[in-house]
Amino acid sequence: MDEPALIDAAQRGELDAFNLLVLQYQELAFNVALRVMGEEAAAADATQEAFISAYRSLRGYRGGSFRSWLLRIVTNACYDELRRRKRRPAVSLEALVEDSEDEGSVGSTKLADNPEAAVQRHELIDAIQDCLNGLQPEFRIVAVLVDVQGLDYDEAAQSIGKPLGTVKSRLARARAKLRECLKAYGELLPAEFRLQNEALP
Amino acid sequence: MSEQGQVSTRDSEQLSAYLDGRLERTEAARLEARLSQDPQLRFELQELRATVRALSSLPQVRPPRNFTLQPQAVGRRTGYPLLQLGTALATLSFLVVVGADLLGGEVAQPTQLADQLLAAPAAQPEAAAEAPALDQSLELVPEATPAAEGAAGAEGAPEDNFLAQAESAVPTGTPQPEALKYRAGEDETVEPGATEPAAGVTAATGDAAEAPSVTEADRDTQLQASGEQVGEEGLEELDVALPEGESIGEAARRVSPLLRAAEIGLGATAIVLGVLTVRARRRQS
Repeated sequence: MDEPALIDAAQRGELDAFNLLVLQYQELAFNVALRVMGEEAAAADATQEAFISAYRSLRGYRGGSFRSWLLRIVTNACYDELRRRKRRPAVSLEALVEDSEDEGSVGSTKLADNPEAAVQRHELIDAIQDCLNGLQPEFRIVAVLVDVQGLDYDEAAQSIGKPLGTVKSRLARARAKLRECLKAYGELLPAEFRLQNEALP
Repeated sequence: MSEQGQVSTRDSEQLSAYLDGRLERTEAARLEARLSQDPQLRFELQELRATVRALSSLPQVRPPRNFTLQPQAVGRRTGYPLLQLGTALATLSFLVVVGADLLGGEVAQPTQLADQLLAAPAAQPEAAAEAPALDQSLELVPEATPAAEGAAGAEGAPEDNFLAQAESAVPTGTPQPEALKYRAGEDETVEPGATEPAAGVTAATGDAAEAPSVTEADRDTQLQASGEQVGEEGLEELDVALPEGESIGEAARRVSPLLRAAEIGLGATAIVLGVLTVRARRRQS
């Protein structure tokens, strides 16, 4: 069954059809939540809440990009979860990195194969996530959607419910802040990601 | 020329959009011209590109679990609220019918019976033929309550009005349906003053053979209350109220099966809905 048919069936209350959509989008939703929340447990909570909310408000979906519609619910769930956890202390990303050991696109080298590369990779993930956590949520979400998840500006605009110009300006500011933040890690970063003054096009 | 770390907000936005290929062609050409002449601007672009590359290199993490939904998690419409409402309504209706049956057997049933008999004259031709007279006699029964007697003194206007109507109705013996209805409703305002139901009312659910004598007693009571002497014509007219003997008692027996059926039906419905509600509740929790 294709996506429009699944959506149609889900709108008629067929939970099984909606669950097929969940299986299709849960990784994207969870990873957006993970990078926004910076913590796996919080991301899982936000993702679950987002899917529940999506199911309940599915009748309000009026076509267009279902992914953008869903991501908007995910980002709202993240905002809610962030507000709930505002008073809680930040949790180390060590556990997250351990969990995602065999995942990922940054050198999928395993610890046993190349310990140095694995450590370097951990440092990079830690550094990036730490810098993301330092952004205000509205900038962080745009950076996650566009730079981490690869959405185009239009989808990102739909996902945050803001005009295209807002996405452009927030993304530029988020990137500028991230750049400054990553500079602080300097030599900790792999050479290909290292920011240095002498590098010129 | 830009200084390091001092790129304007506009330049920063243009570089960011340029990196994503989101600049207008003319703006892109203008920026490229500046980039070719400005090493610092090129440096900014390079750093921005490295930042984006670093972000896009973050791994996709496998979700720790599936986020598929269970019916109870989303409060799937199990019909629980409707079942709750249905159970409540069925139970309430059941209680009302049972209450009406119990109380109506002592107080209110005569008027209800009369109304029902009036409402279905075709189904019971004999009863229909006697219905107006029966109704008249039934209307007289509540009038003979202690409250009506008290009204003979200096009670409020409703009783006076009521008695005046009764007075005008008795001699003619041909009360209008509207007047009967009004009086039937008015009985309810008079009845609370009564400490016990009139004998005629209790007789209405009893043996049919007792009905005529009871009606006479009621009539006497009413005449006492009104302080009027009713002529022989009026008494004869009233005598046709329950002339055939069977009227109230048999009419009650004809109607009671309907009440029983309603009680059984509503009771069974309430039980079934209650069971379904409990099941729905368990499914939700």
